Amino acid sequence: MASHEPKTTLRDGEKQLDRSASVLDVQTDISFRETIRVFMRIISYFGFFKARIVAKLAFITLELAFRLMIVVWPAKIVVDHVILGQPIAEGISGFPSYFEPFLQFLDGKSPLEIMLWIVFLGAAMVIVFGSTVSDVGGRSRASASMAQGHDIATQTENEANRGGSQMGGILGLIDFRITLRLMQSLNHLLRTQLAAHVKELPMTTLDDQRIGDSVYRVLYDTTSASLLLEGLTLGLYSGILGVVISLVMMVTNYGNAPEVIVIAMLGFPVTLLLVLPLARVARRRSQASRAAGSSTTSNIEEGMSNVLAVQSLGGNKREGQRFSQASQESFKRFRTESFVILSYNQLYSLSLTLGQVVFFIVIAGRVIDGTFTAGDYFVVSYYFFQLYATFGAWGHMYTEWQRNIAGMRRVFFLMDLQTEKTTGGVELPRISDGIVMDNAGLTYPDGRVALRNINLKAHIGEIVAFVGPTGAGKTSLAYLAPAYLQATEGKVSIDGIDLKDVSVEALRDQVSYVFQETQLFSDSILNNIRYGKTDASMEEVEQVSRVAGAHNFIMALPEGYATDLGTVTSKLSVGQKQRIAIARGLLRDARILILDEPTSALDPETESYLVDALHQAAKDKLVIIIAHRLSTIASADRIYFLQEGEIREQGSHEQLMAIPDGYYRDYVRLQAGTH
Amino acid sequence: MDEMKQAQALPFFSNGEALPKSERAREPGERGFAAIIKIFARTWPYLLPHMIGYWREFPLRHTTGDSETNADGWSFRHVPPLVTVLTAIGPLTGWLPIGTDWQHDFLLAATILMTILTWALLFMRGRVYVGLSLTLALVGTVAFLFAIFAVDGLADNFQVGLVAVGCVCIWVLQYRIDESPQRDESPQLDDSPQRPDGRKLRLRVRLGSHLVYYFALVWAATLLTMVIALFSVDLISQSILQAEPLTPFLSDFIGRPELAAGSGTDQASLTTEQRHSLKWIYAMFMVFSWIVLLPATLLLPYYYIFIMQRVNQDLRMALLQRWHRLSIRYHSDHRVGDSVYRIYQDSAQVTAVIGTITQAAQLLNTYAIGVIFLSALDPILGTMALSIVMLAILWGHWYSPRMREKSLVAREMNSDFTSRVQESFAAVRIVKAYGAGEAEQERLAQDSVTAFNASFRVRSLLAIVGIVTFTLSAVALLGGQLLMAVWASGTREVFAAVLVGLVGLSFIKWNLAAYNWAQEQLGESSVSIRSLVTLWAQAQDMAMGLDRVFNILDIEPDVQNDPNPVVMPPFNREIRFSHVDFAYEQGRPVLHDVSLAVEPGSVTAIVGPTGSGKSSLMSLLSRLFDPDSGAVSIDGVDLRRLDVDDLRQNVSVALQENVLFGMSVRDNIRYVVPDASDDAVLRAAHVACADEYIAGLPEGLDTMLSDRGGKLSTGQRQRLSIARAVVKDTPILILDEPTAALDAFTEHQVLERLSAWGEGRAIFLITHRISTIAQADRILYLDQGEIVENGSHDELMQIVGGRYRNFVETEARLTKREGHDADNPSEAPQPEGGNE
Repeated sequence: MASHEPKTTLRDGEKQLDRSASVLDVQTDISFRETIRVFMRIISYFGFFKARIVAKLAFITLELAFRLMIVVWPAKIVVDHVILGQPIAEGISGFPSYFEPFLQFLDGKSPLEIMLWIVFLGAAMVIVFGSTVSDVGGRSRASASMAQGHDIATQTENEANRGGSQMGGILGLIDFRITLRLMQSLNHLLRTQLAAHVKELPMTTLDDQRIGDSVYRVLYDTTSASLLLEGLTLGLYSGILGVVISLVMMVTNYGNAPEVIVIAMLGFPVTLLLVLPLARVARRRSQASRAAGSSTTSNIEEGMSNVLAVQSLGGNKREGQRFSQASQESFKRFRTESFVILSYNQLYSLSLTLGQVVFFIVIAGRVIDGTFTAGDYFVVSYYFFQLYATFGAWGHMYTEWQRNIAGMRRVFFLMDLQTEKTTGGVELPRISDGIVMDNAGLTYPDGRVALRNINLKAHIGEIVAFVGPTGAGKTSLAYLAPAYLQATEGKVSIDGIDLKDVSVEALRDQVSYVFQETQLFSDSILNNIRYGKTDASMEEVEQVSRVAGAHNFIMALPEGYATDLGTVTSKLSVGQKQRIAIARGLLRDARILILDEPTSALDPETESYLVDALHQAAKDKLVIIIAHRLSTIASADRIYFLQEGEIREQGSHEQLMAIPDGYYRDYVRLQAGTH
Repeated sequence: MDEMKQAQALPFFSNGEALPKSERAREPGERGFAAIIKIFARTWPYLLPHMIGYWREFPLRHTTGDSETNADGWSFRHVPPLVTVLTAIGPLTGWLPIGTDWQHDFLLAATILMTILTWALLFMRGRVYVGLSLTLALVGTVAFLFAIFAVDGLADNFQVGLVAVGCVCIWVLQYRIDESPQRDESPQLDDSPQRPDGRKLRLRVRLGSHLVYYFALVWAATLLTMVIALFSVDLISQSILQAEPLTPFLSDFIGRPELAAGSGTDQASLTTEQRHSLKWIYAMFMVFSWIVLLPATLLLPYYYIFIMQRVNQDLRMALLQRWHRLSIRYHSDHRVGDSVYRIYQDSAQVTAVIGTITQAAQLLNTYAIGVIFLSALDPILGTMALSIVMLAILWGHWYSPRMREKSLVAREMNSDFTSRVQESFAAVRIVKAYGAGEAEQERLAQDSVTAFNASFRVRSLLAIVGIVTFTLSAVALLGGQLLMAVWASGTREVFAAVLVGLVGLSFIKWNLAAYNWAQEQLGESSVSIRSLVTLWAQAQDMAMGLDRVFNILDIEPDVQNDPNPVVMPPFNREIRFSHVDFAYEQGRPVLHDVSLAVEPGSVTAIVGPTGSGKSSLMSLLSRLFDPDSGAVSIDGVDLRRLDVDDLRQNVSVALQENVLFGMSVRDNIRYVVPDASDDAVLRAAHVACADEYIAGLPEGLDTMLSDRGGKLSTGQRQRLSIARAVVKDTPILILDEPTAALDAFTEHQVLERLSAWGEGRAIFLITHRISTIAQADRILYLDQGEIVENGSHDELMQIVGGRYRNFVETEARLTKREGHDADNPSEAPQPEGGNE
């Protein structure tokens, strides 16, 4: 974290943050053109929500029309014809023509009667539009902002669920709900899309991508899209409508003061000029703030996922410090981002002040010279502020968007990472023969060579074991079969079909992999076992559990197979979890079964039982075992001995033991403790 | 994923499918007004530090703990005499003359009262002290405001300010005289003046009372804004637009005295040229006020963010630290995403508490003023305005519990969704391996929909609360309008006509002006009630968030720290388990009547079937749990009497589920000892046989690892976690199957180096590998939570039909199964046991 460093510039600190958040996403700066591209890409999502957006725009139009055409007039009736008691017939010309029928209806009634009708009209307006006939406190707007903190996570969560309507009443409620659903829908689409994408990333990419960062992007960066959408519909559209209507009113009433319009329209370029230099700053600060949030999330995620380790190591204090630093850092970055926002609010206010000064000098001059009255001044300044505020707000909005663009860039970055080929590609028929590797090699993106010159044949009906010292590449080799890793050299094929062409989904349907490090879900044991075959019967489940040596201890649990496994750290021992994972792998009806160190935590009895079961299973499967324990590998049909990424020896146990000074033989001797 | 399907997953505008009911929301118990206030009150300890700040001594140094004024000999005895002198200055210099008018007398009386209070404070303690302090603050504030607004001239302001500053010293500037310098804990750091008699004067100041500073600044900025606004209105409407002369004060202020009414020329109105020149002055004034207000508008909000983030940070830390003190019993039932959600979303609500309270106070104030004004015009109107609040309370009775329930559900559902996202990413390998991507994705999408639906419901209710409140207040608004319009069209006199006339307002009778004014008042009081209602609705949500935080903080850790812990003994005799019983949950005993003793310098292997309690046994040693009965002791000291952190500093554990953190290899190894040197790190890596492969990494120790450690193989990670345990350099080391993924050669080497390193230490080892077990000094065979055999390899192999012997033989048989190599003894696992 930046705070460790003796003295770094803000920018250095930010770049460091980017790296600590995600080693993949370090080129976080984007040019103006890319900004536009991100923006257009968001707009392309709007197509999914045509009906909702049209409805929203209709509501905006309706509200504006209502506000400008209806709402101001009843007050005039009250003042002129109730309080001042002027006859209606005389004043009818002062109202718009569509009001005439109503006025004619009121004509000749007593002030009390007129007032009752006005109140009646007002009540209807309250219920339908949420607006009374008075100016002060007479309007309501449906919105649902909640209290929030001073960090991106709470603010975006809040903003994305804010909804909002310019109206109250029944229409306002409907508008509010449509708006909220619209924003949520866009958010939901992006969240699910991004989450799906992350899960399709290749293993090598996932190794570099911290979980907390992905979580943060899915939860808190996607909301930027909703805010951009809101800005485009509410901000831009209602802004344009407002400007047009204000202009029309202004021109009809004060056509002799065109300079007002000119000055007001200057608001846009002036605000833009003032805030433009901040656009890049806003993007960068927002990115830094989000990266710091990502780091903090990763930090919580790691600390909580590994709470057992943290406590065992006595790392409570250390973890507290780590979190404290990360959290403070993210607060600091958010503060910096907020400062940018506050500054451009001030620049906007400067632009408004400048516009106001020019306007004031021109119009006050007119008043002093006598071409305008003092009353005109106030009316014209009303229009001026309406126009200027809208124009100015666009410049302001442009900068505000930059923050959301920064968020969306993070979303799209992750979404643009190359995934595995999950769909498309050749369908793989039921595997009948086996795997062939032909001079296969694997080099990691960072240049480390994991495997080279691998030539291997493994057939259905065999048990094949990969043996070798730690770090020899056994797991990497096994990863080639289900295409968790793609060979960078040579060819890996199943039944003669190159795995590069095969649809990953079809391939993995036929390969079961039991990982070395057990991962269970916070679900019942039953559901954990049948994770890969959800329709398995209870008998099947019990049978594989027996084979994996899990049945007895499961039955000893108070709730048996229905026991919920809890979350972070289950109450089961590591060995017990491993057995459940093995049962899960056995249950799945796959043609190739790969067990990565399945027996390391098993006691000899269970192990012996499992090995028998594997022989049973191998009748119609290819079983690949990675193991160190001699008892597990000795009975394999063929053993591949790996060292430094290469196959050194292959053959059955007897064959390999017959090689004097062979690698395998040495290995076995050590294992046996005779050295 | 079908994008179109997901895009339409949420309904157009309806509530969506029913939600699971929150367990907690249905809990009986008080959740009414009082409960909300109680939850808010619980945030007080997190706000208080930012009000009272902390003391810093000169030269600036942290002194901790004492917020009590008179503790540790710190005193403010200098203040009362100082304030007395300052008060006396007033009449003496004539800044605050006696007997000119009642305003000045009032101010003088106030300063004298303040002086008396400062003297009184010297002798008071406890509640009386606090009460008097508040009184003093109140008197000072009132006097200062009075001086600014009710009394002309600057001298009185200055005088009152002077006395006030003197009083403030009580809380911000104190001194202490150290009688004997040798008692000073750090005299060498002290450069405070040395008195000739050997006594030393030390000063301390109170800093960091951010909330106090902030609200004082806000207050000042509000005053400034009001003054500027008043000037503007006067200048524009009266003088520039309507040619009226300026008030003398204003004309003096802008440096154009000739523009004032009654100045020399005695003009009735301004000339055109004068107005044009005023126009320019005002233009400049606008720019000037933007600049003057800039710090307030730019920096004050920033300052507020800064303060509130600190408050939030404290609460986040409290949460995290509590979690780390809670045992695995708790964590096994809680999801990681829930922690993320509580740390972010729930704890953040603490930042809104102060804002909500101050805002509510302001709104109530506005409302009360509105009601009083309206009552003055007509009691019926006042009653109408007052009735809004009745309706609001009745309405609140309906919506508050619903708001709380929906808020809680929304928080729980969103927390679940967070967990779902985290879990599905954490389990991505399994998801891939089992082709469960689609099912997993469906669950995630479903949880997302549920979370959005829950949010939708609570937000919708909030919107409805606003709409209904508006409709209710509109009854009063429209009713009032009807009455007023009818009155104004007649000749009705307003209620407090005499009073209204006295203040100089023009509407003694109901007319258009009265109508407009009253309507404005009515509108404003309805707005404040509406805002209050919304605020209260939001407060329900805040309270539910905070409740979720305090719920965690309320969980008592089951491993309790002794309030007076004993220092960890050096460990030179023994570790003893005596008759230890332990169970994670009632009725499922994990350990039963376990007794054993281990001396320094020994390696103990713990063997037994999976689930026999090996790891549990070891977890008692680092006090992840405390035994239910019996005791674990080191050198005769019961572990329960030790400080948990102290104990864990002395026990190292390397687990089978090896954990990596998203940092460099170096930082991963020195995770618990961040200040370990590279040398120590490399030595530990060597013991763990990790040095070779680390050297082979692209950037060596600096290689960044991701949290899932993908760059390293399992065996490499295991060695890293062994190195992490070794670098702690503790007398007790527990290896909980961390060698399972190592090949025999490496494991052997690790163990050899560990034994050499372990001189004088106790090493515990859980493993299944017989070649390794055989190397141990002693073997404990555990079955179903009991130690069934205990002895060296040789001893245990002699027990015919013994469990351990059986265990070894099974392993041997397995390797020789099917007669593969019966005639080839070299590869068979016939360790020493075979020769017995």
